[in-house]
Amino acid sequence: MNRPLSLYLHFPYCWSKCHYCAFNSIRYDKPQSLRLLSALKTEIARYGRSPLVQGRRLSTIFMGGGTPSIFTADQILDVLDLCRASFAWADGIEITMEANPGTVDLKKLTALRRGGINRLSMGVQSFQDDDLERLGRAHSAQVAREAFRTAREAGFKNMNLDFIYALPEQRLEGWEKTLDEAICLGPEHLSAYALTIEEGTRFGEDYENGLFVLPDEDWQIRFDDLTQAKLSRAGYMRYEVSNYARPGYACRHNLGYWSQREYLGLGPGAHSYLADRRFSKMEDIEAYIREVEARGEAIEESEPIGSDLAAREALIFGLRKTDGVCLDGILKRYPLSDPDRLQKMFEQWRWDELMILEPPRIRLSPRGLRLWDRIAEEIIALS
Amino acid sequence: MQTAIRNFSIIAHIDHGKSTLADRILEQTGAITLREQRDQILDDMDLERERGITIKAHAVRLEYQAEDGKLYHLHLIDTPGHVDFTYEVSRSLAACEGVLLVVDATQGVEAQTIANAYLAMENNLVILPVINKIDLPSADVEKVARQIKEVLGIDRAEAILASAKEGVGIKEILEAIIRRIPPPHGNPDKPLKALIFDSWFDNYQGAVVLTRVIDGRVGIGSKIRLMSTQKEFEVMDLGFLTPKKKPVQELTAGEVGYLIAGFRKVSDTKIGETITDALHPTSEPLPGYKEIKPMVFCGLYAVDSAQFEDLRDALEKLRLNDASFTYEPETSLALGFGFRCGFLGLLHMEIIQERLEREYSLNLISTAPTVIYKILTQQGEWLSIDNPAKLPDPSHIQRFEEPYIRAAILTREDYVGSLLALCQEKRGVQIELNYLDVDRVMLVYEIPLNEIIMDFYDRLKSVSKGYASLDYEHIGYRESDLVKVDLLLNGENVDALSFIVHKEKAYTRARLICEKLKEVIPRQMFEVAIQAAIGSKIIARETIGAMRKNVTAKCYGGDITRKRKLWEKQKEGKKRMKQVGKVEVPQEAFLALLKVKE
Repeated sequence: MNRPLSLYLHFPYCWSKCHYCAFNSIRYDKPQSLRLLSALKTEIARYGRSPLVQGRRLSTIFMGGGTPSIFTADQILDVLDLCRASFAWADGIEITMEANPGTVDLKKLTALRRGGINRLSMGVQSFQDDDLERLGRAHSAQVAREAFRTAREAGFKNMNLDFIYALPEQRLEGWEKTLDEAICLGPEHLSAYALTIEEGTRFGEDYENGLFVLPDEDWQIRFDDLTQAKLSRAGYMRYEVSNYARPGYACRHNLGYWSQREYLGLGPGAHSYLADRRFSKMEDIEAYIREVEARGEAIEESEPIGSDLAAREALIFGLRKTDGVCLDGILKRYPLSDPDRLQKMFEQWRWDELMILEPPRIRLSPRGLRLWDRIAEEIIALS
Repeated sequence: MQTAIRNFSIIAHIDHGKSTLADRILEQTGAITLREQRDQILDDMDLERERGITIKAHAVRLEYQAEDGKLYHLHLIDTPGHVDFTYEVSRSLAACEGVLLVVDATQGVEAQTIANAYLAMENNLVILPVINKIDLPSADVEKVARQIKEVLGIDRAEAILASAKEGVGIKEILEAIIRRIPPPHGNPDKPLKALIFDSWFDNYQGAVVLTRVIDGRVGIGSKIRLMSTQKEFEVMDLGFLTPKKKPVQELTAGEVGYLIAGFRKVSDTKIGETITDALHPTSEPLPGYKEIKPMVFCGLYAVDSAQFEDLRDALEKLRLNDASFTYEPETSLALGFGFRCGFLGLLHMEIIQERLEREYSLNLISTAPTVIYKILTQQGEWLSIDNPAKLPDPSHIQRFEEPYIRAAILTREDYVGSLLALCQEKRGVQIELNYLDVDRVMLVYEIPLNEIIMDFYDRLKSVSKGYASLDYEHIGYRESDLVKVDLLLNGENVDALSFIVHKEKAYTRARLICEKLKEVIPRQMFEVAIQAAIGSKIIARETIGAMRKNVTAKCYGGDITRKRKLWEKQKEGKKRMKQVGKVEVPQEAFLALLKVKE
């Protein structure tokens, strides 16, 4: 039982809610945030003793949110130290923290870097101020540029910048400028997400009310193509639908999600995949805190993942990666009752130029990647 | 005793107030309370109540103390209210001596009013016109009375004015039934002759029939014979419906009641059948018996082919209750194993389909309805074609015939122009155009049935803003210039979509159907070509472009379960799709033929 394990920690506070954001986050509330930290630490200590993690080493830690960088360096490092004390760490552990421009300065970043955080993921979204305003971001492009440089100065040598594109009214030229500037700054990693309108967000509401229209399919594809072409020319390899990295800098933590690897998620709404079960913590922050205070644990849902389902998940999420999956490996690990039907479907997809079969590996073609949800639907529907 | 009996029916155009009048008569004679009526009188079938159409006949025995001081037994025989069931209506009327012809004072004489009145006349019944809904502000009694005189030749003086809703005129109607409808005059001492005018299946007792004894008598323990099949049975139970079952020892000439005799299925007890005594049989059956034949056919398939056996069981059970529809197994390349089903008409078809889906939880695909075509082959052999896919190659066809109907359409004058155009479009031939009144026109057309089952009725209602009414009768087969059009999805012939159409309309229809299919078939991950062809010649084409983008941008730890649940939900939705080749085709596509507007 020496398979490595990943740990996700959720910090659910932001200064303000962005218009597109459907994540589990609320406005920063200091008194509550102190209780949250202590609940989180209770959980870390408790899971550190769990037989499920005994003998296993953490290969990655990801502190996400929300905006983890809203907390002080001491608070964050306090949590990280507890992780170090509670779990065994693998050599070369990747420790990522998400940060938003406007919540970090040189002192804080330097402390965090020295305290062990070796990867910083910064939510930039755009280098155009009108885009940022439309997205409801709390910072300007200039603040984002400075934050990036400050992080470099603080010693972060593995950095990601997050972007969103294909916004309502966004022009191709505007997005191109953002990309150019990102390339110019030269982070090791870039995430570029086509805007998704989520229910329960300000955008969702405005969209329902017809306040804006989204770029149509063809237009979105032009954004996609531009993104892929520019980033690839600049030496960023697309390794997942929305993720690009210089060689050796793919996010190992996130690769775990797409490779059916196990992870433990702590904090409100965090999901775990451990011991053939997927389970999640309570989403409601107050409820999460109270439950942990009372019971040391706050499970919301838990479901077993049988071999058949695990095989489908491994295929589906693995196919988000541009190098796909090792089909033989998956079928060996999770035997399927009728793998022939799957093979037949793949043959059809190969014929339709959606999939590329290079035994023992399979992967999606660029067109197949663009239709990943449909492909996933069919893999689930295949009985 | 017969002098104290009156057998009558209520006939009307739909929505002219037949059921309300029946309810009032039941109330007035104290047969039942209002609440019971809902539960008992109107049929147990939800569908009837929802559609407002009586599908099965009923017969209720009522007691009425008339003004002459005598006690009368009234047998009220309800009739189905739709053209699909004309034969059933005619048999119900054959059990009566008179009818109440209800006409809505605000609407006037409609197509079914006339059709029903003619059926009553053919059965030599006394007709009592009832002008209903006189309480409504838009009622025009004089005009309606004029129409009745004009169309049916019944005098103004004979019409009774009523408002069933308000209870006005009910007494007058009951008195008129006693005074003007003659009592039955059968001979109780002659050999038994009884008419079956309805039957249904009871899980416990088998088929139950409603019968009118014309001559003779029938009692519990009698050995009876059904004359068309010569099958014999022993009477186990009989009586009146009041509307509760009230068993008696014997039914005699003139009486109407139910009869149970160990009939195992309703197909043993065909409507119009004559019951006689097995020991002292009559020599002649009652006139008017017909083997009723389905006129409209369609293929029924379970969306989930694993439900094939369930569908077979459901059809078998439904047929126990309704001998007028038929089914036999068929195979479609596109849809797999299913059944070719025959119905009396479109409404009948819809009812059966709805019952299959609702009562048996089946998820069905039905192909577009078709009529029976007659083909004379080059070899001189006549074929009946109830499935377009089974049509022989055109080079083998010497003569192609299709069924025609004679349609009577009643309308306000304003809509005559659009209706003439509609009938023309539907290949109709005008037989008559008569003014019944200054602004009321009757059109009579001979039209191919295949045009009627497409969308004629909906179109009729829409061009006339609901004012035109339709009734029709079948008038046999005529030669026609017809062709079969096949539909291909990505080059694969989808047999379940083939249709037969008049040559002149083939191109237009084919184009419209391709367009409609493009609308209803969702985009797939590849391009889908829709083609229509006559033989090997492509006459129309549409393309459904491939879906280009459908990918979740952000997908991390928490999204895995959420996404999977979403796809699992979509998988449920997909169960309503049929895989044809590799194209997913929704159920509604198979009815595209019905949905096109020319």
